[in-house]
Amino acid sequence: MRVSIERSGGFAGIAVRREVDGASLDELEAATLERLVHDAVSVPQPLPRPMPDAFQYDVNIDGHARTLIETDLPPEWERLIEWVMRRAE
Amino acid sequence: MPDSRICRCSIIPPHIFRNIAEHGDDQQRAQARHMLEESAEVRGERRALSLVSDALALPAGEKRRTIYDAQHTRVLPGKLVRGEGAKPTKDAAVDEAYDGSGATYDFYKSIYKRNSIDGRGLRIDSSVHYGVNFSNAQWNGRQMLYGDGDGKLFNRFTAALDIIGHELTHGVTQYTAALEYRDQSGALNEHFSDVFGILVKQHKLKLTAAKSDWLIGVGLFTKQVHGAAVRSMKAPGTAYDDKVVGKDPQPAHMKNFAKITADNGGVHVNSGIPNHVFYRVATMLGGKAWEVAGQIWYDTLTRRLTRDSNFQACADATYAAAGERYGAGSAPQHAVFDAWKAVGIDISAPIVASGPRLKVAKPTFTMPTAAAEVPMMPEAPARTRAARK
Repeated sequence: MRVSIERSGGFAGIAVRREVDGASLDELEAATLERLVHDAVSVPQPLPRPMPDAFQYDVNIDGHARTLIETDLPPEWERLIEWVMRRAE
Repeated sequence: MPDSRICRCSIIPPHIFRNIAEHGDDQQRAQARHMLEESAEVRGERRALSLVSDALALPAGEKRRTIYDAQHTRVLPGKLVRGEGAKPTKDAAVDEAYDGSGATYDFYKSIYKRNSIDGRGLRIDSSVHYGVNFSNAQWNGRQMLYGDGDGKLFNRFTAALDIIGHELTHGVTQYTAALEYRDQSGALNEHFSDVFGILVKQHKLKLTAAKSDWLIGVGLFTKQVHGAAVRSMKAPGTAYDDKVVGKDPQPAHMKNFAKITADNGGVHVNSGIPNHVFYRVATMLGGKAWEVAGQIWYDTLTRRLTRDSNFQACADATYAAAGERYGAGSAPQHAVFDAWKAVGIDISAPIVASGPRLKVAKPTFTMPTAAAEVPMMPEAPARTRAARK
Protein backbone atom coordinates (compact mmCIF):
# COMPACT_ATOMS: atom_id res chain seq x y z
CA MET A 1 0.00 0.00 0.00
CA ARG A 2 1.33 3.36 -1.03
CA VAL A 3 0.01 6.64 0.37
CA SER A 4 1.15 10.03 -0.80
CA ILE A 5 -0.03 13.37 0.53
CA GLU A 6 0.48 16.79 -0.93
CA ARG A 7 -0.37 19.54 1.51
CA SER A 8 -0.84 22.95 -0.11
CA GLY A 9 -2.26 26.29 0.94
CA GLY A 10 -2.17 27.58 4.48
CA PHE A 11 -1.19 31.17 5.19
CA ALA A 12 2.32 30.57 3.90
CA GLY A 13 1.13 28.74 0.79
CA ILE A 14 4.11 26.42 0.92
CA ALA A 15 3.46 22.97 -0.54
CA VAL A 16 4.75 19.88 1.24
CA ARG A 17 4.76 16.37 -0.24
CA ARG A 18 5.07 13.18 1.79
CA GLU A 19 4.86 9.55 0.75
CA VAL A 20 4.83 6.25 2.58
CA ASP A 21 5.23 2.88 0.90
CA GLY A 22 3.87 -0.01 2.97
CA ALA A 23 6.40 -2.36 1.37
CA SER A 24 9.27 -0.50 3.02
CA LEU A 25 7.70 -0.53 6.50
CA ASP A 26 8.07 -3.17 9.18
CA GLU A 27 5.14 -5.42 9.90
CA LEU A 28 3.74 -3.40 12.77
CA GLU A 29 3.92 -0.09 10.91
CA ALA A 30 2.48 -1.61 7.76
CA ALA A 31 -0.46 -2.90 9.78
CA THR A 32 -0.92 0.53 11.37
CA LEU A 33 -0.95 2.19 7.96
CA GLU A 34 -3.45 -0.32 6.68
CA ARG A 35 -5.74 0.19 9.66
CA LEU A 36 -5.55 4.00 9.39
CA VAL A 37 -6.37 3.85 5.68
CA HIS A 38 -9.23 1.44 6.30
CA ASP A 39 -10.69 3.73 8.99
CA ALA A 40 -10.34 6.82 6.82
CA VAL A 41 -11.93 5.43 3.67
CA SER A 42 -14.78 3.95 5.71
CA VAL A 43 -16.18 7.33 6.75
CA PRO A 44 -18.13 9.58 4.39
CA GLN A 45 -15.71 11.91 2.69
CA PRO A 46 -16.73 15.58 2.87
CA LEU A 47 -16.79 17.54 -0.37
CA PRO A 48 -13.78 19.84 -0.66
CA ARG A 49 -15.07 23.20 0.49
CA PRO A 50 -12.32 25.80 0.07
CA MET A 51 -11.69 27.95 3.14
CA PRO A 52 -9.24 30.86 3.29
CA ASP A 53 -5.80 29.70 4.37
CA ALA A 54 -6.98 26.22 5.31
CA PHE A 55 -4.60 23.46 4.26
CA GLN A 56 -5.62 21.46 1.22
CA TYR A 57 -4.64 17.77 1.25
CA ASP A 58 -4.41 15.87 -1.99
CA VAL A 59 -4.24 12.28 -0.81
CA ASN A 60 -3.41 9.44 -3.14
CA ILE A 61 -3.95 5.88 -1.89
CA ASP A 62 -2.74 3.26 -4.36
CA GLY A 63 -3.59 5.47 -7.31
CA HIS A 64 -6.93 6.61 -5.93
CA ALA A 65 -6.91 10.41 -5.47
CA ARG A 66 -8.95 12.47 -3.02
CA THR A 67 -8.95 16.13 -2.00
CA LEU A 68 -9.73 17.17 1.56
CA ILE A 69 -9.75 20.54 3.30
CA GLU A 70 -8.34 20.96 6.80
CA THR A 71 -11.49 22.60 8.19
CA ASP A 72 -13.66 19.63 7.30
CA LEU A 73 -11.27 16.78 8.13
CA PRO A 74 -13.02 13.84 9.80
CA PRO A 75 -10.90 12.58 12.74
CA GLU A 76 -10.16 9.35 10.87
CA TRP A 77 -8.57 11.29 8.01
CA GLU A 78 -6.81 13.59 10.43
CA ARG A 79 -5.16 10.54 12.06
CA LEU A 80 -4.08 9.06 8.73
CA ILE A 81 -2.70 12.34 7.41
CA GLU A 82 -0.87 13.13 10.64
CA TRP A 83 0.68 9.66 10.74
CA VAL A 84 1.86 9.73 7.11
CA MET A 85 3.18 13.30 7.37
CA ARG A 86 5.21 12.35 10.44
CA ARG A 87 6.35 8.91 9.29
CA ALA A 88 7.61 10.27 5.97
CA GLU A 89 9.24 13.37 7.40
CA MET B 1 -37.42 35.43 27.81
CA PRO B 2 -34.58 34.01 25.82
CA ASP B 3 -32.10 31.88 27.64
CA SER B 4 -29.08 29.93 26.58
CA ARG B 5 -31.15 26.81 25.84
CA ILE B 6 -32.65 28.50 22.83
CA CYS B 7 -29.27 28.63 21.19
CA ARG B 8 -29.04 24.85 21.00
CA CYS B 9 -31.72 24.74 18.34
CA SER B 10 -30.41 24.63 14.83
CA ILE B 11 -33.17 26.76 13.41
CA ILE B 12 -34.23 29.80 15.33
CA PRO B 13 -36.89 32.19 14.03
CA PRO B 14 -35.47 35.63 13.31
CA HIS B 15 -37.62 37.34 15.91
CA ILE B 16 -36.07 35.23 18.63
CA PHE B 17 -32.49 35.95 17.72
CA ARG B 18 -33.29 39.61 17.38
CA ASN B 19 -34.58 39.37 20.89
CA ILE B 20 -31.41 37.67 22.04
CA ALA B 21 -29.39 40.31 20.30
CA GLU B 22 -31.19 43.03 22.20
CA HIS B 23 -31.55 41.43 25.61
CA GLY B 24 -29.14 38.50 25.83
CA ASP B 25 -25.83 38.68 27.61
CA ASP B 26 -22.52 38.35 25.78
CA GLN B 27 -22.42 34.61 26.05
CA GLN B 28 -25.95 34.19 24.79
CA ARG B 29 -25.24 36.47 21.86
CA ALA B 30 -22.09 34.59 21.03
CA GLN B 31 -23.89 31.25 21.22
CA ALA B 32 -26.75 32.50 19.08
CA ARG B 33 -24.33 33.82 16.51
CA HIS B 34 -22.35 30.60 16.52
CA MET B 35 -25.42 28.42 16.02
CA LEU B 36 -26.93 30.62 13.36
CA GLU B 37 -23.74 30.98 11.41
CA GLU B 38 -23.12 27.28 11.58
CA SER B 39 -26.56 26.42 10.31
CA ALA B 40 -26.30 29.10 7.63
CA GLU B 41 -22.95 27.74 6.58
CA VAL B 42 -24.21 24.18 6.44
CA ARG B 43 -27.06 25.28 4.22
CA GLY B 44 -24.69 27.36 2.14
CA GLU B 45 -26.70 30.49 2.64
CA ARG B 46 -24.47 33.49 2.57
CA ARG B 47 -27.39 35.88 2.91
CA ALA B 48 -28.29 34.23 6.15
CA LEU B 49 -24.85 35.17 7.48
CA SER B 50 -25.50 38.83 6.88
CA LEU B 51 -28.92 38.51 8.51
CA VAL B 52 -27.17 37.09 11.53
CA SER B 53 -24.79 39.99 11.67
CA ASP B 54 -27.69 42.43 11.21
CA ALA B 55 -29.51 40.96 14.13
CA LEU B 56 -26.53 40.74 16.45
CA ALA B 57 -25.07 44.11 15.59
CA LEU B 58 -23.58 46.18 18.34
CA PRO B 59 -23.62 49.93 18.72
CA ALA B 60 -21.00 51.50 16.43
CA GLY B 61 -17.47 52.00 17.69
CA GLU B 62 -17.16 49.13 20.08
CA LYS B 63 -14.00 47.09 19.97
CA ARG B 64 -14.40 43.71 21.58
CA ARG B 65 -11.76 41.03 21.57
CA THR B 66 -11.83 37.65 23.20
CA ILE B 67 -8.81 35.37 23.30
CA TYR B 68 -9.08 31.66 23.99
CA ASP B 69 -6.45 28.99 24.56
CA ALA B 70 -7.17 25.80 22.58
CA GLN B 71 -4.53 24.10 24.76
CA HIS B 72 -2.95 22.25 21.84
CA THR B 73 -6.21 20.63 20.80
CA ARG B 74 -8.40 21.29 17.80
CA VAL B 75 -11.43 21.94 19.96
CA LEU B 76 -12.72 25.48 19.50
CA PRO B 77 -12.83 27.96 20.96
CA GLY B 78 -11.05 26.58 24.08
CA LYS B 79 -10.52 28.19 27.45
CA LEU B 80 -11.20 31.92 27.79
CA VAL B 81 -7.92 33.60 28.76
CA ARG B 82 -8.27 37.31 27.98
CA GLY B 83 -11.29 39.51 27.34
CA GLU B 84 -11.54 43.11 26.21
CA GLY B 85 -9.77 45.47 28.55
CA ALA B 86 -8.15 42.72 30.60
CA LYS B 87 -4.47 42.97 31.51
CA PRO B 88 -1.75 41.30 29.47
CA THR B 89 -1.08 37.68 30.30
CA LYS B 90 2.39 36.18 30.36
CA ASP B 91 1.59 34.20 27.23
CA ALA B 92 3.07 35.89 24.15
CA ALA B 93 0.63 34.22 21.73
CA VAL B 94 -2.36 35.43 23.75
CA ASP B 95 -1.09 38.98 23.94
CA GLU B 96 -0.01 39.14 20.32
CA ALA B 97 -3.43 37.90 19.20
CA TYR B 98 -5.06 40.50 21.45
CA ASP B 99 -2.85 43.38 20.33
CA GLY B 100 -2.87 42.34 16.67
CA SER B 101 -6.64 42.05 16.43
CA GLY B 102 -6.86 45.41 18.23
CA ALA B 103 -4.47 47.05 15.76
CA THR B 104 -6.48 45.59 12.88
CA TYR B 105 -9.78 46.78 14.35
CA ASP B 106 -8.33 50.27 14.93
CA PHE B 107 -6.94 50.39 11.41
CA TYR B 108 -10.24 49.59 9.72
CA LYS B 109 -12.17 51.86 12.07
CA SER B 110 -9.96 54.92 11.89
CA ILE B 111 -9.00 54.77 8.20
CA TYR B 112 -12.09 53.37 6.47
CA LYS B 113 -14.76 53.89 9.18
CA ARG B 114 -15.40 50.17 9.23
CA ASN B 115 -16.69 48.83 12.52
CA SER B 116 -15.03 45.42 12.82
CA ILE B 117 -14.96 42.54 10.36
CA ASP B 118 -18.63 42.62 9.42
CA GLY B 119 -18.91 46.41 9.60
CA ARG B 120 -21.38 45.97 12.45
CA GLY B 121 -19.19 45.53 15.49
CA LEU B 122 -18.67 41.78 15.36
CA ARG B 123 -16.75 40.55 18.39
CA ILE B 124 -13.33 39.30 17.32
CA ASP B 125 -12.64 35.88 18.78
CA SER B 126 -9.22 34.27 18.54
CA SER B 127 -7.96 30.88 19.69
CA VAL B 128 -4.22 30.44 20.18
CA HIS B 129 -2.19 27.26 20.73
CA TYR B 130 -4.42 25.52 18.23
CA GLY B 131 -3.39 21.93 17.54
CA VAL B 132 0.04 20.41 18.02
CA ASN B 133 2.92 22.07 16.16
CA PHE B 134 0.23 23.46 13.88
CA SER B 135 1.96 25.54 11.20
CA ASN B 136 -0.87 27.79 10.18
CA ALA B 137 -3.18 30.64 11.07
CA GLN B 138 -6.69 30.91 9.79
CA TRP B 139 -9.97 32.78 9.82
CA ASN B 140 -12.38 29.85 9.82
CA GLY B 141 -15.46 31.84 8.89
CA ARG B 142 -16.29 32.69 12.50
CA GLN B 143 -13.08 33.21 14.42
CA MET B 144 -9.30 33.32 14.26
CA LEU B 145 -7.14 30.36 15.08
CA TYR B 146 -3.36 30.35 15.42
CA GLY B 147 -0.94 27.47 15.59
CA ASP B 148 2.36 27.55 17.44
CA GLY B 149 4.34 26.50 14.37
CA ASP B 150 6.57 23.44 14.29
CA GLY B 151 9.60 25.30 15.66
CA LYS B 152 11.71 23.86 12.84
CA LEU B 153 10.52 25.96 9.91
CA PHE B 154 7.83 28.14 11.43
CA ASN B 155 7.61 30.23 14.56
CA ARG B 156 4.23 30.91 16.17
CA PHE B 157 1.77 32.49 13.78
CA THR B 158 0.91 35.44 16.00
CA ALA B 159 4.50 36.67 15.65
CA ALA B 160 3.79 38.99 12.71
CA LEU B 161 1.13 41.72 12.75
CA ASP B 162 0.58 41.49 9.00
CA ILE B 163 -0.43 37.84 9.40
CA ILE B 164 -3.14 38.87 11.85
CA GLY B 165 -4.29 41.66 9.52
CA HIS B 166 -4.22 39.22 6.61
CA GLU B 167 -6.38 36.64 8.37
CA LEU B 168 -8.92 39.11 9.72
CA THR B 169 -9.22 40.60 6.23
CA HIS B 170 -10.41 37.18 5.04
CA GLY B 171 -13.30 37.89 7.39
CA VAL B 172 -13.87 41.33 5.86
CA THR B 173 -13.88 39.74 2.40
CA GLN B 174 -16.35 37.12 3.59
CA TYR B 175 -18.79 39.86 4.57
CA THR B 176 -18.23 42.00 1.46
CA ALA B 177 -17.13 40.74 -1.98
CA ALA B 178 -17.19 37.13 -0.72
CA LEU B 179 -14.61 36.21 -3.37
CA GLU B 180 -14.80 32.51 -4.03
CA TYR B 181 -11.66 30.86 -2.72
CA ARG B 182 -10.42 29.21 -5.88
CA ASP B 183 -8.61 30.20 -9.07
CA GLN B 184 -8.48 33.94 -9.89
CA SER B 185 -11.22 35.01 -7.48
CA GLY B 186 -9.37 33.06 -4.79
CA ALA B 187 -6.07 34.70 -5.68
CA LEU B 188 -7.83 38.06 -5.31
CA ASN B 189 -9.16 36.97 -1.92
CA GLU B 190 -5.54 36.28 -0.93
CA HIS B 191 -4.40 39.52 -2.52
CA PHE B 192 -6.77 41.72 -0.52
CA SER B 193 -5.65 39.96 2.65
CA ASP B 194 -2.01 40.69 1.85
CA VAL B 195 -2.81 44.31 0.96
CA PHE B 196 -4.66 45.12 4.17
CA GLY B 197 -2.33 42.90 6.19
CA ILE B 198 0.69 44.98 5.15
CA LEU B 199 -1.30 48.21 5.54
CA VAL B 200 -2.21 47.32 9.13
CA LYS B 201 1.50 46.88 9.77
CA GLN B 202 2.53 50.07 7.93
CA HIS B 203 -0.15 52.03 9.78
CA LYS B 204 0.92 50.68 13.17
CA LEU B 205 4.60 51.41 12.48
CA LYS B 206 3.83 54.71 10.68
CA LEU B 207 5.72 53.58 7.59
CA THR B 208 5.33 55.32 4.26
CA ALA B 209 5.13 53.33 1.03
CA ALA B 210 8.77 54.18 0.34
CA LYS B 211 9.93 52.95 3.77
CA SER B 212 7.99 49.67 3.84
CA ASP B 213 9.77 46.45 2.89
CA TRP B 214 6.51 45.18 1.33
CA LEU B 215 7.23 41.72 2.74
CA ILE B 216 4.46 39.53 4.14
CA GLY B 217 5.17 37.43 7.21
CA VAL B 218 8.56 38.75 8.35
CA GLY B 219 9.53 36.77 11.45
CA LEU B 220 7.44 33.72 10.64
CA PHE B 221 10.28 31.55 9.35
CA THR B 222 12.77 30.27 11.90
CA LYS B 223 16.43 31.13 11.46
CA GLN B 224 16.93 27.74 9.82
CA VAL B 225 15.03 28.86 6.74
CA HIS B 226 16.79 30.85 4.07
CA GLY B 227 14.21 33.51 3.40
CA ALA B 228 13.20 36.98 4.52
CA ALA B 229 9.47 36.35 4.54
CA VAL B 230 6.66 34.36 2.98
CA ARG B 231 5.77 36.73 0.14
CA SER B 232 7.12 39.90 -1.40
CA MET B 233 4.77 42.44 -2.94
CA LYS B 234 7.69 44.44 -4.23
CA ALA B 235 9.36 41.51 -5.97
CA PRO B 236 7.05 38.47 -6.01
CA GLY B 237 9.03 35.24 -6.30
CA THR B 238 12.00 36.44 -4.24
CA ALA B 239 10.79 36.11 -0.64
CA TYR B 240 12.56 32.81 0.08
CA ASP B 241 14.78 30.22 -1.53
CA ASP B 242 15.55 27.32 0.75
CA LYS B 243 16.68 23.70 0.53
CA VAL B 244 13.77 22.41 2.59
CA VAL B 245 11.01 24.92 1.99
CA GLY B 246 11.76 25.42 -1.71
CA LYS B 247 11.65 28.62 -3.71
CA ASP B 248 8.98 31.33 -3.61
CA PRO B 249 6.78 30.43 -6.62
CA GLN B 250 4.95 33.75 -7.02
CA PRO B 251 4.74 35.36 -10.46
CA ALA B 252 4.76 39.13 -10.91
CA HIS B 253 3.32 39.12 -14.44
CA MET B 254 0.42 37.44 -16.28
CA LYS B 255 2.83 35.69 -18.63
CA ASN B 256 3.93 33.58 -15.65
CA PHE B 257 0.42 32.90 -14.30
CA ALA B 258 0.52 29.45 -12.68
CA LYS B 259 -2.04 26.93 -13.89
CA ILE B 260 -2.10 24.42 -11.05
CA THR B 261 -4.76 22.50 -9.10
CA ALA B 262 -3.06 22.43 -5.69
CA ASP B 263 -3.74 25.32 -3.30
CA ASN B 264 -7.27 25.76 -4.73
CA GLY B 265 -5.79 26.64 -8.08
CA GLY B 266 -2.72 28.46 -6.83
CA VAL B 267 -4.45 31.16 -4.81
CA HIS B 268 -1.26 31.84 -2.81
CA VAL B 269 0.83 31.77 -5.97
CA ASN B 270 -1.02 33.98 -8.44
CA SER B 271 -1.84 36.59 -5.80
CA GLY B 272 1.69 37.79 -6.57
CA ILE B 273 0.36 39.50 -9.71
CA PRO B 274 -2.25 41.81 -8.13
CA ASN B 275 0.03 42.19 -5.09
CA HIS B 276 2.66 43.71 -7.31
CA VAL B 277 0.07 46.03 -8.86
CA PHE B 278 -0.79 47.41 -5.43
CA TYR B 279 2.88 47.88 -4.58
CA ARG B 280 3.36 49.84 -7.81
CA VAL B 281 0.33 52.06 -7.26
CA ALA B 282 1.31 52.78 -3.66
CA THR B 283 4.92 53.59 -4.42
CA MET B 284 4.07 55.62 -7.54
CA LEU B 285 1.76 57.79 -5.46
CA GLY B 286 4.09 57.89 -2.48
CA GLY B 287 3.16 58.87 1.07
CA LYS B 288 1.06 56.65 3.29
CA ALA B 289 -0.16 53.70 1.27
CA TRP B 290 -3.36 53.29 3.28
CA GLU B 291 -4.56 56.76 2.36
CA VAL B 292 -5.06 56.73 -1.42
CA ALA B 293 -4.03 53.31 -2.75
CA GLY B 294 -5.60 51.61 0.26
CA GLN B 295 -8.80 53.61 -0.11
CA ILE B 296 -9.12 52.60 -3.77
CA TRP B 297 -8.60 48.95 -2.86
CA TYR B 298 -11.03 49.20 0.07
CA ASP B 299 -13.72 50.72 -2.17
CA THR B 300 -13.07 47.97 -4.70
CA LEU B 301 -13.33 45.13 -2.19
CA THR B 302 -16.38 46.41 -0.37
CA ARG B 303 -18.42 47.86 -3.23
CA ARG B 304 -17.28 46.70 -6.63
CA LEU B 305 -16.40 43.01 -6.64
CA THR B 306 -18.53 39.90 -6.44
CA ARG B 307 -17.80 36.26 -5.65
CA ASP B 308 -16.67 35.32 -9.14
CA SER B 309 -14.62 38.44 -10.01
CA ASN B 310 -11.37 37.73 -11.84
CA PHE B 311 -8.18 39.78 -12.29
CA GLN B 312 -9.60 41.74 -15.22
CA ALA B 313 -12.72 42.63 -13.23
CA CYS B 314 -10.54 43.73 -10.33
CA ALA B 315 -8.35 45.84 -12.60
CA ASP B 316 -11.40 47.56 -14.09
CA ALA B 317 -12.96 48.00 -10.65
CA THR B 318 -9.85 49.63 -9.14
CA TYR B 319 -9.68 51.96 -12.14
CA ALA B 320 -13.34 52.90 -11.75
CA ALA B 321 -12.95 53.29 -7.98
CA ALA B 322 -9.95 55.58 -8.44
CA GLY B 323 -11.92 57.66 -10.94
CA GLU B 324 -14.92 57.88 -8.68
CA ARG B 325 -13.00 59.02 -5.63
CA TYR B 326 -10.16 61.07 -7.13
CA GLY B 327 -11.49 62.05 -10.53
CA ALA B 328 -11.26 60.75 -14.08
CA GLY B 329 -7.75 61.26 -15.35
CA SER B 330 -6.44 61.91 -11.84
CA ALA B 331 -2.95 60.83 -10.79
CA PRO B 332 -4.27 57.89 -8.75
CA GLN B 333 -6.30 56.67 -11.72
CA HIS B 334 -3.25 56.90 -13.97
CA ALA B 335 -1.18 55.01 -11.43
CA VAL B 336 -3.79 52.23 -11.35
CA PHE B 337 -3.84 52.07 -15.16
CA ASP B 338 -0.05 51.93 -15.44
CA ALA B 339 0.39 49.40 -12.64
CA TRP B 340 -2.02 46.87 -14.14
CA LYS B 341 -0.46 47.39 -17.55
CA ALA B 342 2.94 46.58 -16.08
CA VAL B 343 1.74 43.10 -15.06
CA GLY B 344 0.09 42.45 -18.42
CA ILE B 345 -3.51 43.55 -17.80
CA ASP B 346 -5.08 46.40 -19.77
CA ILE B 347 -8.02 48.29 -18.34
CA SER B 348 -11.09 47.36 -20.43
CA ALA B 349 -12.50 50.83 -20.92
CA PRO B 350 -9.99 53.53 -20.11
CA ILE B 351 -11.12 57.11 -20.30
CA VAL B 352 -9.61 58.55 -23.46
CA ALA B 353 -10.90 62.08 -23.87
CA SER B 354 -11.63 63.83 -20.61
CA GLY B 355 -9.96 65.15 -17.51
CA PRO B 356 -7.32 67.80 -17.15
CA ARG B 357 -4.43 65.41 -16.43
CA LEU B 358 -5.15 63.12 -19.34
CA LYS B 359 -2.18 61.13 -20.51
CA VAL B 360 -2.47 61.07 -24.30
CA ALA B 361 -1.03 58.08 -26.10
CA LYS B 362 2.06 59.13 -27.99
CA PRO B 363 3.18 57.75 -31.34
CA THR B 364 5.55 54.89 -30.69
CA PHE B 365 8.11 55.85 -33.33
CA THR B 366 10.65 58.51 -32.56
CA MET B 367 11.73 60.83 -35.31
CA PRO B 368 14.57 63.12 -34.44
CA THR B 369 13.23 65.86 -36.73
CA ALA B 370 10.32 68.23 -36.28
CA ALA B 371 7.18 66.97 -34.63
CA ALA B 372 5.19 68.70 -37.37
CA GLU B 373 6.20 65.93 -39.75
CA VAL B 374 4.59 63.30 -37.56
CA PRO B 375 1.20 62.24 -38.97
CA MET B 376 -1.82 63.54 -37.13
CA MET B 377 -2.99 61.34 -34.29
CA PRO B 378 -6.20 59.45 -35.04
CA GLU B 379 -8.38 61.29 -32.54
CA ALA B 380 -7.40 64.71 -33.85
CA PRO B 381 -9.93 64.83 -36.76
CA ALA B 382 -12.71 63.65 -34.46
CA ARG B 383 -11.96 66.46 -32.09
CA THR B 384 -12.04 68.95 -34.94
CA ARG B 385 -15.43 67.67 -36.02
CA ALA B 386 -16.75 67.87 -32.50
CA ALA B 387 -15.53 71.42 -32.20
CA ARG B 388 -17.46 72.45 -35.30
CA LYS B 389 -20.80 71.27 -33.92
